[in-house]
Amino acid sequence: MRVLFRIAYRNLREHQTKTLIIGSIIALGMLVLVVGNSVLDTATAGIETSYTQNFTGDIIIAAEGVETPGLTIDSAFTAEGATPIIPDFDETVAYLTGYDGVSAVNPLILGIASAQIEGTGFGIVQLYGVDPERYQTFFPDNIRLLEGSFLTPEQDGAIVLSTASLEMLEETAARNIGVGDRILVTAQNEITGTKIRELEIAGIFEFIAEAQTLQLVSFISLTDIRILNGMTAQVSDAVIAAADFSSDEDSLFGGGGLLGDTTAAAGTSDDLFGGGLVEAVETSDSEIDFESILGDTSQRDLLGQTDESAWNYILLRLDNPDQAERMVAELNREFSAGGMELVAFEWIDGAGTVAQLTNTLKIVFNWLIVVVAVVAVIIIMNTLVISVTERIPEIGTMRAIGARRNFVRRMIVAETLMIAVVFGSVGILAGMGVTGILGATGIESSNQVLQIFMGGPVLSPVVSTTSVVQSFAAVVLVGIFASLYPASIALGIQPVTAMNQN
Amino acid sequence: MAIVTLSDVHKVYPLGKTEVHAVQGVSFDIEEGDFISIAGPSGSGKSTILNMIGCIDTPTEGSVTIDGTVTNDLNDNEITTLRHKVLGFIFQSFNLVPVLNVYENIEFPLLLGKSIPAKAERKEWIEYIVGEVGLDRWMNHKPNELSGGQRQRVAIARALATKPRIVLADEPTANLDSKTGEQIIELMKQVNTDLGTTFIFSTHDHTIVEIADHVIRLQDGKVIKNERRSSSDESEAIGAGSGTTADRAGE
Repeated sequence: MRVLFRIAYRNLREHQTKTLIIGSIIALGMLVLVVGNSVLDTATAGIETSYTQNFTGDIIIAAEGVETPGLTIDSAFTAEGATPIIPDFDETVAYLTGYDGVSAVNPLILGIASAQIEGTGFGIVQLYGVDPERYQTFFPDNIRLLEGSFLTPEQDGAIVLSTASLEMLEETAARNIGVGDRILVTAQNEITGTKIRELEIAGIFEFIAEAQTLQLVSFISLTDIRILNGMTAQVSDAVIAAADFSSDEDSLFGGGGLLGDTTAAAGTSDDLFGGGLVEAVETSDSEIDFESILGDTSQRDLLGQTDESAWNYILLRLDNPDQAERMVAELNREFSAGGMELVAFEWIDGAGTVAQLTNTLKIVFNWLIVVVAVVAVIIIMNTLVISVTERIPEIGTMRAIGARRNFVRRMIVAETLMIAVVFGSVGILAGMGVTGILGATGIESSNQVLQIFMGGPVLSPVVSTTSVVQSFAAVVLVGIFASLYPASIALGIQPVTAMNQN
Repeated sequence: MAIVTLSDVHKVYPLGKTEVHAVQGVSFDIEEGDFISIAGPSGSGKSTILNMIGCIDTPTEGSVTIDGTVTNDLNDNEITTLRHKVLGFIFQSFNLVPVLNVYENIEFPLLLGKSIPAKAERKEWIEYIVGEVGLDRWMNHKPNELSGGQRQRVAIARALATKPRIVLADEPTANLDSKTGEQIIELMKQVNTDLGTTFIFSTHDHTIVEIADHVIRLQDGKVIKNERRSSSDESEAIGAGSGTTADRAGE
């Protein structure tokens, strides 16, 4: 075996120029591969941490029919129609909370609206309706409150505005805006049409993670986002079904009194139908005032009441985030088998186009590297073919004096692998060095688009073990592939060619 | 006992749409320890016969038997093993591995076998044969640092490294000046005498043919003379293939 490497090494040394040209191509390829993948890995890891720890959790659960969970403003704009509501919310939460490997759950309502102040200031805001306590437990350190306070449970008519939204409003309103100011938020939904809510700014905050696409997110009290989103249908359905308002006129108008038995709409209906009005109708001897009765808005108010179990998404935090892909598949299997109208997504699916673009960029980059590798293979292969052709008498002689075909094959592979591994390692080490320098100095960019891809204004890449291992595997594969054709030529050299050279 | 036997060997090469009959029904035996010259003009078939004896070419018809083994039906690995164990080669153009030095070139065939001798054993044997060929001081030199004669000495040493029973030499002196050529032939003769190795060499050099103790003369792919010489310079005709006649070498 040693003689193989001795011959391989000396042949490479003998043809220094050729070796250096091929070696430089390999080394440069490996350098680019290591640096590129390290930068992309760091950016991806940064984006993943940023999104999973601040916005998406590890897994996103949505109602069946959701194709992409649009947690970011870019995906909110591209989403078609209203986001369906999670069915059987309480049971679903209970099921997911007890699911093996899930450490926390956080429900979420999403909305998008225009914000106005005093009819002048204007801006688009993405609204997150959250259970304040659950949200802050799920994402304990993701925001920095600059002014005022975060939402409190049961709080209505409040919004906690992001600095980016605030700046947009201040710019258009041409004045300072702060806690206590009131803004008009207008949203359109397919169920109840246009809805306008006046909200008081309860606080001003910024996300600690610098993810540009999420800077327009503001937090809004649950009742208000449900009204803006038209999340009342379920309450209406429930009440209508119970009272059977639409199909049973007797129970509505007949019976002992005008409104009949109002107990069916227990709870909320007591205030609406019980008490003074019913009593007045029942006890009055005077003519019935149909106009006043038909002008009653109580049914409409009932229908307009929000559904407190209406949520768009449930975010899951896992004990081991690396298991997310496996668990998504497992959950989807179980949802399907159990007839649960739910679908599970990985965080990246809800992270919007930018985070997905980073992944795409990495795939594109690796394909580019594949193309470069193919070119490198062809260059190395051609050079080796020339080298083998020049050595026909030498190889023929080796065969004549007792070298088996396998020896010749191994000799060619050893030569190719040696050049690939030696120069590939040099390239990988250089790549690690360059990545180390970039990591120490940091790659800064004031360009917002670049910042999105970098996961922030400064990217400090670190060498990823995966990148090094992949690069080394790539260079070995390049070496093996590049040696196949030259080896086949060498194997075709007959011992008699040694004589023919005479 | 014959160490090499050719029986009615034919070799036909395609040449465009025609065929070249390089060897036509050649039969002869070579005894172990022979110092034999296969002589003849260019195109007479001597290299083809040497290649078939060396198992690097196969006959179109007939059989070649080396050391009791009929080579026709051996597969590549078997034939490679046979070459490695029984045969040594000396080429007209020396054919040394250019990136290996003298010592390494001689050692190379020893590293190709299934059982590789121990390093010390190799070293002792290589130093012996390097001494035999007179290249003690050149062990660490590369082939391109040696003269033609020195390179051929290395080739002889390499051919002897595996202690083969037969050494084949194809025009071993063709690329050497006459004086060096003579020295090389003398060296081969000396090894033949010292180690009992059978030497089979092709040549068209009359001077060299004179030294051989068994001469097979070819013409147009046929044996025209096959004679063994005794020490008293009496020649003995040997029954052989077509066209064989008893004659005195060089006549």
